[in-house]
This record gives sequence, structure tokens and C-alpha cells, in this order.
Amino acid sequence: MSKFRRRSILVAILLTISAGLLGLNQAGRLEPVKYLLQTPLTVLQRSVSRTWASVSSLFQDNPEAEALRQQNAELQAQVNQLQTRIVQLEEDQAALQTLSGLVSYARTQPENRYLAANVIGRDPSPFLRYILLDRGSDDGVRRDMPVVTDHGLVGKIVEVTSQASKVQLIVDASSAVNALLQKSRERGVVTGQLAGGLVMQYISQQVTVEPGERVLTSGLGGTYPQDIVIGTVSAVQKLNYEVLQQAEVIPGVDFSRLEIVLIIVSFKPIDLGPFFQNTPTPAAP
Amino acid sequence: MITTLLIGVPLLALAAVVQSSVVANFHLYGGAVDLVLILTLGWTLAGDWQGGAVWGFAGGLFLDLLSGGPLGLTSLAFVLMAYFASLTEGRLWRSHVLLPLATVALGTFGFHFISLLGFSLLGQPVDWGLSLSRVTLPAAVLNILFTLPVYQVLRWLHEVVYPAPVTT
Repeated sequence: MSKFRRRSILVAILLTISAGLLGLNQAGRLEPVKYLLQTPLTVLQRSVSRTWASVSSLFQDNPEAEALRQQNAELQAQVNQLQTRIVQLEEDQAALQTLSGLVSYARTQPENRYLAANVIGRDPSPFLRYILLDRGSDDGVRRDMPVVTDHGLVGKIVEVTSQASKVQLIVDASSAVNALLQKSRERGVVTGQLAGGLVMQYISQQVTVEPGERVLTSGLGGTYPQDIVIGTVSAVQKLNYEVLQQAEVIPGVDFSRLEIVLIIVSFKPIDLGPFFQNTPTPAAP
Repeated sequence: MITTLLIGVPLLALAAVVQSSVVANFHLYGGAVDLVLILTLGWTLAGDWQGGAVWGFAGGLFLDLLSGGPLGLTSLAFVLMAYFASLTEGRLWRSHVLLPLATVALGTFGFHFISLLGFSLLGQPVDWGLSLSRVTLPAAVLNILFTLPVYQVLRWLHEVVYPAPVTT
């Protein structure tokens, strides 16, 4: 058998395996295998990440020890809680101004519990926006838990191993967050852009949206808690012949400088899946 | 082949982790260095024509495990790129200094094109124009810059592992 033929056969086999993996992955059958393979990689990644952090800290003006960084993150959590309260107060004030009696509902949102986590990796693909955290199921992290910093929403947990977890950032192109414009009370969906920004879509043409307006999570869909800062409107795209308008949003979080984040471990996402499953239609009489 | 795997698997695992933990912090516009791709194509051009495809498969798998993308897509792209690179075997111009640079530049475009096509087929939104101009083009430039030193090391490694037979 010629060398070329042998090589072609090998490549065909490898391509078939890759395509098979893709198919199985899409069917969700590879989770245990991924879990198994990711664990040793995570261990390696932790040590590389730590080494890199200590090396890069040599070039920083004010190098901080790991313990101080963790402590700082816990303090940031308290700041975050206070900021959440401020946002809630602003929300209440806005509601009173509109004299809406509907806002008298009891906002008995339980106090969030946070878990600080170090960012140990970023998505190696330039087209995807995910990060890897050094906290996993051993620390109580579960899929779909929201991730925040004191500056706002970061994303949500999409994969968990025993010692690490993967977060889909809100700037990822396939991310969508139900959002609310704080002043105008208009709802929409904030989606990620490849260039790293955000766009709030599906805003009614009747509403006047102004740059600088704050965008918050609306809580619709049960995926994220409400009233977490997403960012601020930077520009509005309003075309007269379109039914809806959209706004460019600058994220509150600087995703290129993420080092420590907070996972909201007390939040339980609501699974609305059963409401959207196909129900058999009764046969016509 | 076993030697190729023994060298390749730990090296590519480390490269994938370094790409995720260190290299991903350095961007030129949206593009970053594709370290594992450079290693795969470099090893292929260094002379391990079959091993390059195996490196592509293993390296792609490691990257997919660290990525939020679907498992198998990067492997598929890297195996194809290594195969195309291996087609230069036996050509007269194979020893030309520009060959690794051109291969890596074309390999970057091929890899990114297959990735975007995969995302698109899997239902993810893809902005082709922005992706190719803001991500692929800068990544190709960065990859070219890194190719020559990496390629020299891989050629040396290949000669150590597979020394050329002495002819009298």
C-alpha cells in the first residue's frame, strides 16, 4: 500500500471519528466522557494559570497575593449586594412615579449567596466567549447558576466538572438575556456580538431610548435574577420603516480583565421547558 | 506512530492549556495565536506526514474540551488542515522558507472557515464578514509571526526523534 493511500485512509478514519464525536456531542451523549477528559486538563490548567498569574503579577505595579484577592472578592460581594439594593430602590422609586399600583407586590427576593471563583482559562476559539472557573460541583456549583461581578452580569454556568466550571459570557454570540431598560421600563433581549459588545433587540418603536440609560436583567424566563446590571445604552438604531428598534449596549463588565467572579449559588433557575413541549392535539370529531 | 503520540499528546495538552490560559489574553483585534494549529502544521511539514494528522486530531480534541464549542469540530478542521499540509511532501519547493508561513496562513483561514461553517450549521449566529476581517486576518498575521521559531524547534525535535538514515 502506498504512503499516500495509507495517509488518506488514516485521515478518513480520523475525520469519521471527529464527525462521530460531533454527532454524539450534539445528541448530548458525550457528557460523561467530557467530564472524564476535562478533569486532568483542569488540573494542568490550574497550575499553568497559577504560574502565569504569578509571572504576570511581576509586571504589575501593585502585585496582590492570592489570599488578598479572594478576600477582596468576598468584600466585593458585599458591595454587590448593596448595589443590588440601590438598584431595587431606584426601581421602586420609578414604579411610584408611574403611580402604578401593580408594583405593590412583595419584593421578597432572598438575599443572594455568592461563591468567589478565579478565572483559570478563556475559550481558545476566537469565535466563542466562554471562561473557565476553578470552582466545580465539589464547591456546590451547578449548571445555569448566574455569574456576576460588582460591575454587573458576566454570564451563566453551562458545564460543571468536580473542580471546574465553564461559563458562557453574555457577549457570546449565542447568548441571549431577557432585559429591561431602567427608565423607560421597556423590555427586550440582549444578545452578544462577535466584536465583544451587546445589542438589545426587540424594543418597541413607541419608546424613546436614550444613550446612557441603564440596562438590567428583567428576570423573565427565570434564567437570571432580576435587576442585575447588564450595561448602559451607547447608541440607538431606530428606522422608521421597522416595527422594532434596537440599541447598542456597553457591558458593565470588562470581560478582557476578568480575574475573579462571583457565582450566585442561591439562585435556582426556573425550568420553563415543559410549557414549550409539544402537546398532542386532540383529534377532530 | 507511538513515538509521535508519546511526544504529541503531552505537548499538545500543554499547548492547549497555554493557549487557553495565557495566549488568549493577548489579542490583535479579535484574533489570537492558534498555538496548537501551528504545532500541528509545523510537525506535519517537519516530515511526519501521517503523524501531523494524528496531532491535529489530538490537539483539536484538547482545544474542544477547553472550549464552549462542540466536541470534534476543531479536531475535524485540524485533521483536514494537516492533510492538506502533507500534500506538499515530495515537492521541489518543499524546503522553501516561505512554505511553513504560507501553510500556516492558509491553514488559519481554513481552520476558521471550517469553525464558522460548523457553528453556522449547528444553528449559531455567524457574522462572516466581521469574523474573517476582525478575527481571522489578525490571527493569520500573529500565527505567521510565531511560525518560524516554532517550526525550527519542531524540525530539530523531528530530527532527534526520527534521525535521517545515513547514506554512504
